[in-house]
Amino acid sequence: MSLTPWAPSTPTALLAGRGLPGVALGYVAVFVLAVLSVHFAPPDSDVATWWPAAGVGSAMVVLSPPRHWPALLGGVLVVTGAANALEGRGLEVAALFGLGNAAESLVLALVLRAGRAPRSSLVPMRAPEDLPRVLVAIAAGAMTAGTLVAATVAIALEGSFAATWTNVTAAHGAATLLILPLALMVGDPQARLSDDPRVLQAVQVVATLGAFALVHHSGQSLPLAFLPLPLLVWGAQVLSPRALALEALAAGLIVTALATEGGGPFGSDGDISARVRDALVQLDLVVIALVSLPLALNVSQRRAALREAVAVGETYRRSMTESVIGTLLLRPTDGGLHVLDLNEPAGDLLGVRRDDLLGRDWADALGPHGGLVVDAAREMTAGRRSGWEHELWFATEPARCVRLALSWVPDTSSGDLVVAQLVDLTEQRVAQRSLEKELGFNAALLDATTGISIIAADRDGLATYVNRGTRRLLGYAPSDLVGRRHLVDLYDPEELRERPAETELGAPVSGDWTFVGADGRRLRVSVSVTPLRDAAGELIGYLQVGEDVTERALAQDALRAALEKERQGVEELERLDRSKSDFLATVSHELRTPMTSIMGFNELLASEAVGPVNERQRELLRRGTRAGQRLLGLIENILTMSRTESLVESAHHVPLDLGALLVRVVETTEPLGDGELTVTLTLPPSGDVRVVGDAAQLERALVNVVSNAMKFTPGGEVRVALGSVGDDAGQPGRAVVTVEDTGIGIPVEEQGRLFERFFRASSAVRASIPGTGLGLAIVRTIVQAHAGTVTVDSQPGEGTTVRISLPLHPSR
Amino acid sequence: MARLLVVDDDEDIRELLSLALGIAGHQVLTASDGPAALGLLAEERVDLMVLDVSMPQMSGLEVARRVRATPPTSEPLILMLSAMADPDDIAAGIASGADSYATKPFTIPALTQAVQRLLEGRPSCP
Repeated sequence: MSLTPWAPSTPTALLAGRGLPGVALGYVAVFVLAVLSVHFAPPDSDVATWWPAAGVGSAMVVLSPPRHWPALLGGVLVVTGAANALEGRGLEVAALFGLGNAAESLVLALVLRAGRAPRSSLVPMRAPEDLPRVLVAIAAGAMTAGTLVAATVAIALEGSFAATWTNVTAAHGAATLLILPLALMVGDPQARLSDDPRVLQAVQVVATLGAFALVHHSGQSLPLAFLPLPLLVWGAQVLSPRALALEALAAGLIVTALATEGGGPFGSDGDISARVRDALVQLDLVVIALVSLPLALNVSQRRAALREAVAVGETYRRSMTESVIGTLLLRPTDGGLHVLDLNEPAGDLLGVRRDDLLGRDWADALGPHGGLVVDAAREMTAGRRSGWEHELWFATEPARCVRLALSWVPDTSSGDLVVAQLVDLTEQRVAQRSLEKELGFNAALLDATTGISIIAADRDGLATYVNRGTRRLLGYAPSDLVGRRHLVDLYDPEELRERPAETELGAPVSGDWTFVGADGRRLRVSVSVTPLRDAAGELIGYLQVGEDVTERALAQDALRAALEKERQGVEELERLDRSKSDFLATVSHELRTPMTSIMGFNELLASEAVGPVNERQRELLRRGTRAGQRLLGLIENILTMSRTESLVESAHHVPLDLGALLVRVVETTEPLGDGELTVTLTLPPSGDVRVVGDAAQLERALVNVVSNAMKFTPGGEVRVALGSVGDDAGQPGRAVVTVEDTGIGIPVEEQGRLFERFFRASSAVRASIPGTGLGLAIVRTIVQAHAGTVTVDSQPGEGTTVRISLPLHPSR
Repeated sequence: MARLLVVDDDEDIRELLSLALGIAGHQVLTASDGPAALGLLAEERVDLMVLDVSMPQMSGLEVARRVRATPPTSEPLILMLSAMADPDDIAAGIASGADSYATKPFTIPALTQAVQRLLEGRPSCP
């Protein structure tokens, strides 16, 4: 079991930093140790008492990748062989001893690495469980060496196989047992862990090694070999595994070295032979190793685990402490929540000091919410729910809205834990509340406006309030929309695509839009969307007010159609009018031109310019001229009537002398009189009567009045008079033309209709007097266009008087 | 005694005017349309032309404009004669280069008087 990751543990990696110098140093160590071991070997023994060279050599092999083994093993053979030869052993024997050493290392390494991939980690030396394999490998190696060396001794030196085997196996095994674990700990940081002060460690080492020295001193012969063992146990607690392994090695050296002096627990008397004594010494070393190593590994392992746990705990604590999210660690108790810890934000949110809450029951501190939270925690510990989240208002000052999330951490070493996380939602909720309050305040009003859809939405456009008018307008009930639909869902998606720029703000901008109702019906809605902001200007939502304008849109369409129709009608009328004008112009030209010729030729004849005319001929010419005159008058009236509507616009107003105009009128109309009718013209003696007007139009009007008077007066008199009134009383003066006849008159009941177009008096019809009924209508139109008035005063059978009044020219 | 040119597509009017103006003591030439009038003006000296407005091929207004644009050796006075008596029509006649404007129907004395006044440098009011 490995708690601390320990990565660089391949043999290559371990030796990479050392390389050839490391190997060379190893060989030197092997050689020196071998020489010393042989040198200090008991004189009566064929082999050394203790053989640390085997441990060093085996460690070199084990720490190297297998591909280097042949070379390394060869080196071990040569070096150990050389050391034996140097100390006076025969070459053959030395070589065979070397072979034994090499074989030992090979077997040890093979067993140690058996079943492991060539490049995989070294055999770990971290936990007591790691020891058995190491012990088996050491035993196998030691027995291999013992067998080979004993065989050599038995054959070449004629010594005892069994005694040699025992000695060699013990010497090799004990030494390797003290050295190899130390080698396996190389590079492992965990092997260096120690919690105790260096001074204490130094005291421990001195005490232990001192005890060994005292017990095994040659002057001491009591069997006190067990005495240093408690010190070793103490060492396993205090020292790091590596330090302890070194201490054990040192102890081994001391024991071995002192044992050769003959004293100590194993040296007393002469009861036991030197061989047996050596074996006991080696056994003592094995016991030292077996007592101290597992214990040290165990302590080290726990130490590492504890450190890791502390580190993890520290990380967790720091993340909790430094978190901006308020966090509490709670332990569910019977009917409560014991506060194990809380961070600063949690204290701020809850309005309490950390120390006031630590160790107390949170349910009590929560007040009215306590029961709710405890119940939730109980539900979780019972496995009925894994988490719980709720928004609560805490009665702090000021009150705070907190989202409380509980999560359950089951089965930690010290029991179940509940973690509470607190998020402050106060500002958010306050803003929302004020909005809701406002909406609530107006809710009755909003709901009363059933003809208008009012929808409030949050920042994302999700509906949060829907009034009753919305159901009426769109068919959606509030529950269909609130929290379910966004504002844009109401709009015709096609139109939204067509008007993308208008929706960039997140909600469609105000204007007329097509909505799709709940039943799929499309309707035109005049929308106004208002962004809602909190006091800080932060957008918190939208308010959308919509009014159905489908009817309005339809009405507008209808109106537009009607206007279009009317426009077409007007165009048609204008076209007709143009064609009428063209027609009239043609007619007037075509009629006037021949009439001009007729009248002109008549005049020429009557003037006798081309020859004498007798009285009878002159009479006939006059009749022709009179008929022509009537026809021309008729033509003029028809043409004038056709242009009545444009008389005002086409009028060409200039100052003119009304007297001179009347003279012309009388001249023009005189032929109509036929000699039987006298027309008298009375002009004012004071001189000109000037008015402003269109000469041609006024002449036309006066001709009509005078010719009418003549027409309806079969015999008698027509008096035309001009006067003026009011020009000396400060009043705007008026010119008055009076045309008085002694004709057939007009029935009283018909006088009101005289100015209607085509109206003809019954008296005129009865008298078979021809006419169109246009004359007086034209007169009135022209006179009114000149700001004048025309009146008729008539007595049937006695005559008619027409008065025309016109404003005088201002200069007069 | 002046040389006059009467231009009118109506034969009766041409006859009436040449008779009446002849009686009034003038030498009268006639033309039945605009091109003929322009051709005549290029060859003959004319003191005054009585010009009908409504004529086929070329209107009296156009004849007047051409006469004024490229005056013949003798630049005649122009008395425009028309059945159209609207002020706009009269203004158009004057603008095209007429010296005076008389409307149909006219009386023989009125027309001879208008011609006489124009020849004496006293154009009458239309």
